[in-house]
Amino acid sequence: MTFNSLQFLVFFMVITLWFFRLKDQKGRIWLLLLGSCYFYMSFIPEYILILGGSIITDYVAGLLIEKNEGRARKAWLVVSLIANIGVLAVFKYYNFFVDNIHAGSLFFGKSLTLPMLKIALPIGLSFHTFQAMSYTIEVYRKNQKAEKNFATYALYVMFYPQLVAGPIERPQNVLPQLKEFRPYKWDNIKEGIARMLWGFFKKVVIADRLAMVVDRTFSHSHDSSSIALFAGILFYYFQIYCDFSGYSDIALGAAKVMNIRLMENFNQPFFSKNMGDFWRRWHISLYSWFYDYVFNPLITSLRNLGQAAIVLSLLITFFLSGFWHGAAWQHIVYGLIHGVALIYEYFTRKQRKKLFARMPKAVGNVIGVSVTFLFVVFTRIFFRAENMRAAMDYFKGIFSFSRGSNYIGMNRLEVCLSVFLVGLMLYRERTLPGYFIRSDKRFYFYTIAMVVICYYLGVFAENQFIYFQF
Amino acid sequence: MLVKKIFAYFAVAAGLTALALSTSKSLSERIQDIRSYSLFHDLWWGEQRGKWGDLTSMSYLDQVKKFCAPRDYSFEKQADSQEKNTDLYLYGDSYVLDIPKQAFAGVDSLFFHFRYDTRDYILNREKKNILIIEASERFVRQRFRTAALLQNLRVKGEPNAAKSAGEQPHKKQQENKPFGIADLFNPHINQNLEYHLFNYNFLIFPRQFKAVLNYTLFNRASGDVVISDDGNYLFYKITTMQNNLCSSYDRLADNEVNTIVASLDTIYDHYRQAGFDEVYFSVIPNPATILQPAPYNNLIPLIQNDPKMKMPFIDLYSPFKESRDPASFYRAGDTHWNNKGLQMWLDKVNNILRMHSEKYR
Repeated sequence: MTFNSLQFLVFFMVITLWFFRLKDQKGRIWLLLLGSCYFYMSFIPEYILILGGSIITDYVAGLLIEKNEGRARKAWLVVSLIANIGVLAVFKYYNFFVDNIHAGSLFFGKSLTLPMLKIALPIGLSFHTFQAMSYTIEVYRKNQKAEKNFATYALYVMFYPQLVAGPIERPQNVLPQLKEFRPYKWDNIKEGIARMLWGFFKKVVIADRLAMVVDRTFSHSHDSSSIALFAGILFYYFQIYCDFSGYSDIALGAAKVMNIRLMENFNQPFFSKNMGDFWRRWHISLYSWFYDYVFNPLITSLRNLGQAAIVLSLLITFFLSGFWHGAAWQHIVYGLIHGVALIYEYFTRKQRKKLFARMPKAVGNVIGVSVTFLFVVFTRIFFRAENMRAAMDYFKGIFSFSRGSNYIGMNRLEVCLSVFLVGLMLYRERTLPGYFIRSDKRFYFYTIAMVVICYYLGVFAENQFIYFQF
Repeated sequence: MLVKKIFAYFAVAAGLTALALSTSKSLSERIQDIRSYSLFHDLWWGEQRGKWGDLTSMSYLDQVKKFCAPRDYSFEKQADSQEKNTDLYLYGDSYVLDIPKQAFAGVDSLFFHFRYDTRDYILNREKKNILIIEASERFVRQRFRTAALLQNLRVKGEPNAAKSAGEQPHKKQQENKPFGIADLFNPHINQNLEYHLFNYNFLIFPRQFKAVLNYTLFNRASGDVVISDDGNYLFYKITTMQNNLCSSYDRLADNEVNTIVASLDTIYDHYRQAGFDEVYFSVIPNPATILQPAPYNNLIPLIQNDPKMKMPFIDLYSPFKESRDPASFYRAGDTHWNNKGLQMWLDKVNNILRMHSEKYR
């Protein structure tokens, strides 16, 4: 059940209205839990067993971590981490390792072939395992008490708005909100629905429209001109933003309607002045997860190495973040390139500060934003390409300045509309975030306008959200 | 307050009903049957199903004249009046669904077997038994990767049991299947919801307006339909995608043709042994294959020219391709051929049937 489907609209209406008719929190928790099970099972019903297994493991591990001290405490944390990473390793990474073992053995003149698993990746696996891990780690660190109520803990992992593509939440933020009875508030309804509509708009009107250009250029990289290929990758950056942040908007909006505030996942990443700034604005919940649970522990344990600790910690963190996105070399390369960029920024921070101090602030900002923007645009090629060879072909196509076809899958009018829509999206997010809910009249006007625009300009082809595959 | 409460309960009940209705396959089919009455009476609650072509209807482009081509199949003339000594078994799909027995030469009994059905047959060995397996190109890779067809069209009994020749209705195995968790989740629930909630004649105007708007401004058809590069035809989107088994443009893996040919050989051997005098395979090319062939994956020529292929082919790809006017075989706004395409196929089939008939005599 994708957010941009009729099934979700009906499901959301039923769950939300029912939620507010229930007068005690216990009933609401069970309603949301059962609703979330239905939501998850509508993808592949059997995979609820995997999710259920990891929920039971982490619930028990959380209680035992809290109960024990010393080695036993650590051992239960390790059990929980192995269970979660084990599920990821089997379902997401096993075939990648088998493939590479085979290729490696061929390099040494032998052919070692292990059986491949023919199973579909459970939807949103990387998201909910990371969320589950953050719970046991926080209990281990004594930042969070173990949750005694199984249904509440299960709902923490399964809460349907953020179950399949985040935001990857922390227990300190969500668990208290799930336990507290939260009354109906019209302001929350307005804010939530306005945000959901904005998310739908970004997904069906912008992202799925830009996808037509991106799909075409990536499938015609051999016979498209450099300009067409550049347009394709430029549009891809906006497509993936509108797709993923659109999903996040719907998730945050759906939770907000029920008076639950989830963490923000994006903060206008197109206006990042450098790569450090970019990673504080893009997929915030994932990168704060890596910062808290990978980068910080690494830098603490490697502190004797001096500056090498920074280099190693950054490389390992970004290697893992690339690998998190997909079991493929192009994702690893994508992560490592960003890691190297951050290392470069770390070592040149003083020189860059001096350089920018010599020029007017606005000029410095424009340069910083432009360079960061282009860097992200080009590295996105690795993110989108099907494999390393396709990524390199795409790069070659752009920089060969060849005279292939300029057609990008749209007529001029639609290209103009797409550019206008992207501009509108940037303007609205930067300057008008709360404008349309300040009065009821504005809200009603906005709701009707968004429904009409989404219907008439939306591209409805049941396209899944890109981040569902992770 | 009370009104709000009543509204909330009503909306919850309506939403649950819509979900349940759209999940249940049998209920959805039942409603579809009831509503099909409206098709012939042009009622306001009827479903939209245009007369100009399935793609025109799917994309709501009934207003665009160049995509409007009515069904023009014509079977007025009988194929011939010779002695009828052939039982023709035709395993196929909507391309050949409407062809009457009289259109086939020398055919005494025609057993049309729609591809989704499961049936048992007993052959009459006093006659020629010919099996033609017809498939539209978009289903070939899905359907003939394995010899699963053997489970659908089954030949039973003694080969000489002439008196009871013909169809034996197959007992549906699903009737006794216990209710399972998978029955709560219907992969087509969104299509069903759309059908139950919005597919009514009185709601058609906004859809047509949207379709015309997108077509006029962006030269784009909506949903599952795309417009050909020359702007003159509608194609079913899945037949033009780069990553879809139904597509004419989806890359064929090296061993895929071998797999398909091997399973076709298995099918051929099985039905020959079961008593058929001959078994033919016929693939109807996707309109995109013929009308916009630039990145064609060559599925049909690769199969029919494969040296290991035992099953004789009724070749439609070559004459369509070599024709001076290949566009004249298809309807502009439909996935299917027009009468000219159909008659060409029928001519080829009838030549084969006559040949067998003469041999038999």
